[in-house]
Amino acid sequence: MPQPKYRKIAVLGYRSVGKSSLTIQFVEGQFVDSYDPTIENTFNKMVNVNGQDFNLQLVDTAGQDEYSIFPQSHSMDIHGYVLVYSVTSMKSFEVVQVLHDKLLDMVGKIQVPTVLVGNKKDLHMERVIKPEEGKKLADSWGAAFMESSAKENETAVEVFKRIILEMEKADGNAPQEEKKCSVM
Amino acid sequence: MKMDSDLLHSPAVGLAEEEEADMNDWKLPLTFMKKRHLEKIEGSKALAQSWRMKDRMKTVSVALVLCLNVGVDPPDVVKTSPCARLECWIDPLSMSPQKALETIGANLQKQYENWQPRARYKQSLDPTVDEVKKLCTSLRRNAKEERVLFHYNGHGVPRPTVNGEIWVFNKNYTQYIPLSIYDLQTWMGSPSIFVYDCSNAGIIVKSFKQFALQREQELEVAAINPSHPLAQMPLPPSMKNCIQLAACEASELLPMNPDLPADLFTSCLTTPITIALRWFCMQKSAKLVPGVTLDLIEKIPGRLNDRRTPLGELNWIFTAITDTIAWNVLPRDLFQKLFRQDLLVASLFRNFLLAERIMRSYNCTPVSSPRLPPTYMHAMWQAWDLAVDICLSQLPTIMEGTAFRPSEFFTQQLTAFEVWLTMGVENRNPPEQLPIVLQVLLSQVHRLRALELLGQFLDLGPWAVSLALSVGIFPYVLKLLQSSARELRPLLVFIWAKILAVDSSCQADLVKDNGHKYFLSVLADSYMPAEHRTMAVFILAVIVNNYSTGQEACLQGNLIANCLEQLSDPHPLLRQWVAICLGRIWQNFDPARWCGVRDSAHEKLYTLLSDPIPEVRCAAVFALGTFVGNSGERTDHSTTIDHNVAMMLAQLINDGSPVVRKELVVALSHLVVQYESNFCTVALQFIEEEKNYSVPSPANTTEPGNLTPVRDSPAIPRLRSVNSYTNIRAVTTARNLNKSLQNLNLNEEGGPAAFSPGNLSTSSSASSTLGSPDNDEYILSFETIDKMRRVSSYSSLNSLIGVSFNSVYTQIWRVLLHLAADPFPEVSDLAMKVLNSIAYKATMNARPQRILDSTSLTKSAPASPTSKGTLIHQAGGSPPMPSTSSSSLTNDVPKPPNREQPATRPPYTPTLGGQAPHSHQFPRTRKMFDKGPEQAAEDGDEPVGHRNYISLSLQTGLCDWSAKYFAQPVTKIPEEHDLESQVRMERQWRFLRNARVRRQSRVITQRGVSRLDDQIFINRNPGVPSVVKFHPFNTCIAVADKDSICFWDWEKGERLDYFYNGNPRYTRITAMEYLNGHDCSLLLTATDDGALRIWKNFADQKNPEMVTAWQGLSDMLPTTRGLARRVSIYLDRSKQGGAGMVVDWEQETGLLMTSGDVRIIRIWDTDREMKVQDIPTGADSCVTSLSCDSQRSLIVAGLGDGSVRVFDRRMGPNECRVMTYREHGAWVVKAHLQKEADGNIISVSVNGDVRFFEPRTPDSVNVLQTVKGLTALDIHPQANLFACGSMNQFIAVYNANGDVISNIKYYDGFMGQRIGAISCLAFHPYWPHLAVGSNDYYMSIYSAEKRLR
Repeated sequence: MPQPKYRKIAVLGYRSVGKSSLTIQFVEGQFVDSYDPTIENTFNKMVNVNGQDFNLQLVDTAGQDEYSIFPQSHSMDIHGYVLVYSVTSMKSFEVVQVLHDKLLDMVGKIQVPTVLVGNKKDLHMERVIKPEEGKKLADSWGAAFMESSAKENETAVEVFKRIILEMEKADGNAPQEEKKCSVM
Repeated sequence: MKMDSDLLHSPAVGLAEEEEADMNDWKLPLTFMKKRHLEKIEGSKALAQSWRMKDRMKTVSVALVLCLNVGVDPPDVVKTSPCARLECWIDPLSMSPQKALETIGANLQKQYENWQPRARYKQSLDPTVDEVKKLCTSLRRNAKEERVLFHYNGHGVPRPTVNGEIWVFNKNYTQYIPLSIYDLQTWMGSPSIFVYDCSNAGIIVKSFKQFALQREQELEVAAINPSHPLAQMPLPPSMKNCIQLAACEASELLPMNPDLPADLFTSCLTTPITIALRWFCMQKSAKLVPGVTLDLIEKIPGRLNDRRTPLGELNWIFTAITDTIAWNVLPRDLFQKLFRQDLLVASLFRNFLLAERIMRSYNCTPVSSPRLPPTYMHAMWQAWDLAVDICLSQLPTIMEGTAFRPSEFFTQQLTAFEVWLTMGVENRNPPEQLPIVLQVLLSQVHRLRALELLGQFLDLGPWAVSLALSVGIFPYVLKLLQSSARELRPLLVFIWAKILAVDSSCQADLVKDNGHKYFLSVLADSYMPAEHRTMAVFILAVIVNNYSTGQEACLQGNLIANCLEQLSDPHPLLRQWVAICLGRIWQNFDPARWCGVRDSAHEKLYTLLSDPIPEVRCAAVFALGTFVGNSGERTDHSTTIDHNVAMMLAQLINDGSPVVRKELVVALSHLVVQYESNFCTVALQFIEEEKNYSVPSPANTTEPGNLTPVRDSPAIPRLRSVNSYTNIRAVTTARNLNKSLQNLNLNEEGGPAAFSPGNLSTSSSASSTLGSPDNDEYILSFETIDKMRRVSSYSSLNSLIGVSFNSVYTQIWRVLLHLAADPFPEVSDLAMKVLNSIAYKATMNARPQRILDSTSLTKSAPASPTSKGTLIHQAGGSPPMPSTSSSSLTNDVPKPPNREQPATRPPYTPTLGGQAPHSHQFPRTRKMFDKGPEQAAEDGDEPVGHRNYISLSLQTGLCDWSAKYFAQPVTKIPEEHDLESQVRMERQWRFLRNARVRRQSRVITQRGVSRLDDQIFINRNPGVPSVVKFHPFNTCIAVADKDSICFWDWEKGERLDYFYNGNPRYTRITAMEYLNGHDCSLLLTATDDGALRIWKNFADQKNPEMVTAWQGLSDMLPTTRGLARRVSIYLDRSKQGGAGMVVDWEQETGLLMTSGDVRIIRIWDTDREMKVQDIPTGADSCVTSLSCDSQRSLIVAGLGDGSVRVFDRRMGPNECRVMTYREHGAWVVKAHLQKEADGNIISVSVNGDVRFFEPRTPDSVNVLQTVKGLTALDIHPQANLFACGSMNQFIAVYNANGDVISNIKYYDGFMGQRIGAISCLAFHPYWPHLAVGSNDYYMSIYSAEKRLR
């Protein structure tokens, strides 16, 4: 068993898009439907992806908006970013683009491991952002995209597995190994 | 007859004389125009105590909730960079976050402690919901009903939500947790005050109100539906009393200007001077003063709470200004609630005004609930800017050590107030500076001036007093009473008199703070002017009024001795109030009474019973009344004193002032209550006696229950009803009573003759021989009261009852009977009440036995009669023993009786209110006894109701009325002295009119009147004219018939008014006079029973009102009277035998001469409303005519025996008759004294011989013979004419030479009908008009030829 890898992930996004819900669903396996705005919260979780243990530290941030000053703390010592918008809020989709720009500014790279998540996909009636739009944006960033619902544990887990894969990819640990293995 | 004035009147001379005449009018005194005649004697309405905080409270607990989360900005606020950072003047980033939080919390507490040092402070720094809950509930639990403050700083959490939530933290500070305002309301309860310093704070205020409303609705539902879950729970507190202060509107963010603190709102609320100065420096205007920087203002020397330092002074000015703005802008009740109820709330709201001003300049609008009107533009802020400017401009030099120059602010504001006081118009807005005057009282420098101005302000009237009280003057002036400064004494006494005149409830506050001692020492200070001692004694009189603690305290302070010393002070108002004060201190307070007895207070008060000022007499009667009306235990000694006092009081029975007599009835009623059983016995005796003497007349056939006096039904419906006059009154025959009084007191002059028990015993024997059977009285007995009085003269009660002091009770009973027939309705009403109550009780106590007597004949009684009787008493709370019953009586707080107004009563006669229940009461009694004793016992509460009724209604309102003097402006110039006033203008018009009448009439009379037979007026009078009297200056003539007066306008020929004089049947009007004819006319009527009544408001579309009435003569001789009554009045007067009452009036001196069927001429001083002199006529005959001359102090009287007597009233009673002419052989019809300095006396007898006498010579100087059988004669004072009216149906007019110039026998037009027998005639005092009344009801006026007029 190789040593677990330590990875720190920040969850960013506009207010009340479900950052904390997603995180808590992933960490604790339960859905929090009350809205208590987060100041900043950090969770730890061991997760195994492709046989590799990851000691994940999840930074659940307070919601940001387009005018928020991007806290420096969010640019240092972070291995990957989960940028969340709500498929029910155009505003959150706009803000997430601004956030991505700020993020790149701050980090000083043209690409960082990122997963763009369209949350609240269960609210079909209120959906205003099509999956295609999200996919298109993610592609433009060179990031992964997926839609999720914090009510379902499966998608939440999927989100964080995906960012692990993205980080691994950025580290050069291409998933080929696994693919090889899988091929094998 | 040298009446012809031969002077030629050139226009110039005429003009001069006219001016002189005008001046004379101005100089003539007015009579019966004092306040007591013009006003209803009652107190002013009690002031609703809006100024006194019913729920004065304290903020005892403060929760300081800070949600800063230093270092982490809330997610929903985008901050500028740089941004406002300071919290409680601390930069949170200057230290570690935790340290910063704690320091800020500590600082906030300190800032609040400046305003409320004694509250319980609890900080809650970055709390969780549970912590807040714990904090709030525990503070509420400790605070109980007091106020709790909740301060919320939300700079580190998201903005409040529209759902009504504010934010706190979770335990790990990873999340913002919402806190519902609804929960906060529940925890905090009421009363509370909330301060929200966060963006969008207005949202919280809105949600708060919504939740409060929601609570109310839930409560209502719960109240209706008992099964509702809330109904079982303890009621949640109402949020109505909660106060909220929010930093900004719902849509606004807090300013982020880096020059400002982040908690600008909190800074304004808690450190107003600091922030105000900083803000001032940031304005452009501050640049005008060079060298003032933000650094410098932090160095302003001094302490906030030391007014002598620059900083303290600024703080003081700031307080004054914000208070003033609030007082001027806010509605009164809101001002009271927010600025006077609670010290901390008041401070916060004062500072809130600053917050509004400052924050509005940053487009931020602080919100409060209750909402305040905008104040940020108020002009007073400019005064603040100026004060700051001046202070700051001094700053650089002060730093260098120069002495600080105090601000002129307060001096200037006081000047503004003074300008307002002196220059303002009558009706104006309250002065803006009033709250500043209050502030200034704190400073010794300005105190004297401020008090002076305050006094002037309070003098403007009760409204000013209420205003001053509402601004909060009370605690300050109360505190000042501890000052020993002599120069403040007059001012404080004045101010306190003003306050207590408006709100007497302050008595308790005064006594509590020992304030009464201050006024006791002022009263004792002989160097104090009498006015101020008067006010001091007024204040003390209020303190002891119905307030036993005050009585106790003042008694200890030696008030009684102090008062007694001042009883003879020359200042009448002081005498009056000293007496009232005495009366009040021993009212229902036995120790004070005994103290009074030791100091022989009652004997000292006797002097005041003959005081020239009626109000003083009144006050003395009041004091003596409460002296005897004390409810304490009675010893022999005190009973003796009571009797003594009672008999002294009884002498005032014929006082000229009804106010005094009313007070007398009340005083005697105290005695009646005190010795109830004795009076019941007397009453029973009178009733029994009356029955024994009863004759078959309707009044006597009624059952015993109706024995008590009942008024007759309204009389003479054809008449226009007149105030208080719908009842026929019993004829007033005071003769017997007066005799007995004379017997008792030996000296009827009313002097303070000492009255010892020795006198009493002799008088008791005297009373048994009182009066003699008088058939004449018997005819009059158509009313029960009168019967009683009549019976009393027969009865020898002493033989029946063996009580040693019986005579006193009998005498007082007779006095009351007499007063029940008083010509002034209010007096008789009161006396009726007293009599009725006792008669009621007397019959009550006597009855049960009788009934049982009758029932026991048929069946066995259910219980023993006596026990039943007692049962009634016990149930009714009226034990049969007099001493206990009286004590329970006076201690009762009576509830108002259920009065029913008879439908026949005119709605505008409120004074009649008391009489209806009597007639109403008796059916009840009867019912009670008809049903038998059992029922009676059950009905036992009725006597209580009745008794309460007496003790309640018997007060005159004199004291309260007198107190109004202090409530009204004292220093103001009366309106009539104002040359521009309406009153003055009207008066001027009247005097011009008078001058015109004098001038024009003189022109005519000087041309000489050669004929006087032009009939210019004729009309049928409603009654047979008995007296006619021209108004001297207008076109009105008064015509009296037997008991009514008709007013005619002789120019227009129309009837102006007709009203009932109110004299009883069998009496008639025999004389009339216009008083104040030159100005505000009053009409005096005299009736042959000796009563005088004075009327106003006649003949001018208003309701005639009785100004006053009194018994002018009390001992009318019976022999002539009897005849007079039986013979119809319009017969030849010489055969009537009675002259009735004759009067003459002197406007110049205000003296009224009265005489008639008596052996004296009585002179009344209408100014003092007292008898001043009794001149014996020295004849056995009646006086038929009176004439006087004020210049020479002469009185001429014509008598029935033909003699004409001249009296000099300056001389003693025995030598004042200076001349007697016995030339007439028969009844003198008229005796006239010419008013000139050497004027002659003209007299005429029924035989028609007119004689002229020169007062110094013993024989007539001229004689003229006219017709015989004269019934009436009048002499024209200007035109030298005299007119004779004959019973033989003609009038003859003679000139000075005795030539007949006119002879009138037939009416004009009217088919030449013969005129009737002449009943009266009178000349106009100026015009050559002659009014004639004849017994065919016609009243006609004849004048000189047309060409003359």
